[in-house]
Amino acid sequence: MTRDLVLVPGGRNQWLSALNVLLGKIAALRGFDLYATLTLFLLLLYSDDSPWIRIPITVLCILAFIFVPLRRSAKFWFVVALLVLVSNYQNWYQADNHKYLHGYWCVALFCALHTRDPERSAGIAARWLIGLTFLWAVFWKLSSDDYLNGSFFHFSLLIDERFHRVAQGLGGLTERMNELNHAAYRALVNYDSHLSAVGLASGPAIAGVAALMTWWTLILEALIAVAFLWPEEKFISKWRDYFLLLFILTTYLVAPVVGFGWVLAIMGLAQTSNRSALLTLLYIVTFVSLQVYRLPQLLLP
Amino acid sequence: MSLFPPNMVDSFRSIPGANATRRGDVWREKALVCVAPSLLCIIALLQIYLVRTASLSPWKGGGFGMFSTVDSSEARFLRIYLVTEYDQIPILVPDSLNPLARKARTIPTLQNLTGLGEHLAQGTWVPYEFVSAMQRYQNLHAGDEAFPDTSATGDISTGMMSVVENEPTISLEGLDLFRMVEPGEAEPSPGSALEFTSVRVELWKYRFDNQTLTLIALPHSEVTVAR
Repeated sequence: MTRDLVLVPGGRNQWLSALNVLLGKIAALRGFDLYATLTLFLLLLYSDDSPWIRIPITVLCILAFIFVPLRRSAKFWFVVALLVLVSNYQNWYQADNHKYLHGYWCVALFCALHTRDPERSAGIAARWLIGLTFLWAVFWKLSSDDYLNGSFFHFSLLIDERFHRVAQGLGGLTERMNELNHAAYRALVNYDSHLSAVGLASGPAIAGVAALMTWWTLILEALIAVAFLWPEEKFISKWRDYFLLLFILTTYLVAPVVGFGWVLAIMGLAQTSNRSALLTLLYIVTFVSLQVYRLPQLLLP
Repeated sequence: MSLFPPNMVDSFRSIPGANATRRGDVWREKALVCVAPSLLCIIALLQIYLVRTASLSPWKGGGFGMFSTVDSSEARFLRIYLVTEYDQIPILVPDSLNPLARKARTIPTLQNLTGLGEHLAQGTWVPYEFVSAMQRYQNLHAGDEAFPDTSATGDISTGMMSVVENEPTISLEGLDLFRMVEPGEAEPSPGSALEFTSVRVELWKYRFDNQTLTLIALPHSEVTVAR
């Protein structure tokens, strides 16, 4: 075991054979059971906070971890999908979009298990769900009054705490500016305020970073939408996995919405079935990376 | 693009009438695959309708409009006033009404704003009073038989009680800072509740001008609810 890891002349071959072994093991993992299991992780960690939904979903997910036939049962996914959809219905005006996507994905798994080839059916549904999600996201960005001119990301870099490290590191926003911006923001939205406008302070490169984020996000989302909705294995469709992986790895590095990143990675994995062990490995690495991304947030002050 | 491999239905070929069955199965399976994507599209179209007609925030409602605009539910804020004969007093939404306030901010229909206003107008509003933690403990201790009598044992809490016995309550009455009496709370002493005629609920939205670096508040809608 240790000898395999020592770099010696001809060691490159050993690394390649080790990689082959790993890919072989990953290939054996592929299929409905793999992404059903990852979906259980997703629901266990990122389902609704209401105890009426959270408790039954937690119990069901734990049971499905233990009893393999349960996670291959259409009835199981029907109950889980129903719980997620009811939860979204109750909180429809405040639920985040990825919570809706969790519900659709559970419905897709339930429906797939009623077909003769559940793996292939779930893969097709996953491809459509990803394509449509990004199509709507692009629609909103193009029809927004304040996206294309860079206002949205400029504002987010100045005020949104999720973008604070990028604003500081790349945009040159100082702590003093940050403090001033938050004071201005509070002064405007406080319950007893009668102000109608406040000025914000911006770092020297914030506008440039905002423009970069604006176009990077829009172009990548448009590429994903087109690539996933294009007929399979033709033209841009061949590149779809790489676009999606690039999106997940770059977007959630800045704004770690793990519940969204995970459902995209799981659906990405589902629609790669029987295509490539390397892609399966990349999706799994991406799935794990999203948790690793959170470490600086947890460890740094 | 074929949804299913041809060998999937080969076994039907030798059965009389199997072609119809096969076509039926293929369509059934195609329909099953389309259920979740169709659900996504229906909800997304409904969300567009609600954004256009009811000012729903594009971030919410399942239409995938997140990170496309400043106009999230946080960009909508409430300015609420108790209107008295001589004045109008800004108030904070009490914790118990926060879900209603959140809904009114995310989808500010007349119905949602009026609903919030009605709850606020039905409430009893009293001036804020700050009571120290020790004073609060003492008040609860004195009025509840469930607490053991520790005066004879020299318990440390009894010792603290003697320290805070004469500590005055800090009243903020002059600052026009009012709070709504929460459900289950004791009725306020006579004369301490604020007399007001109506509640005005204003919903504002801000937008960001990246040329002048200014955050601008704009009035969106308002309702006045009589008491």
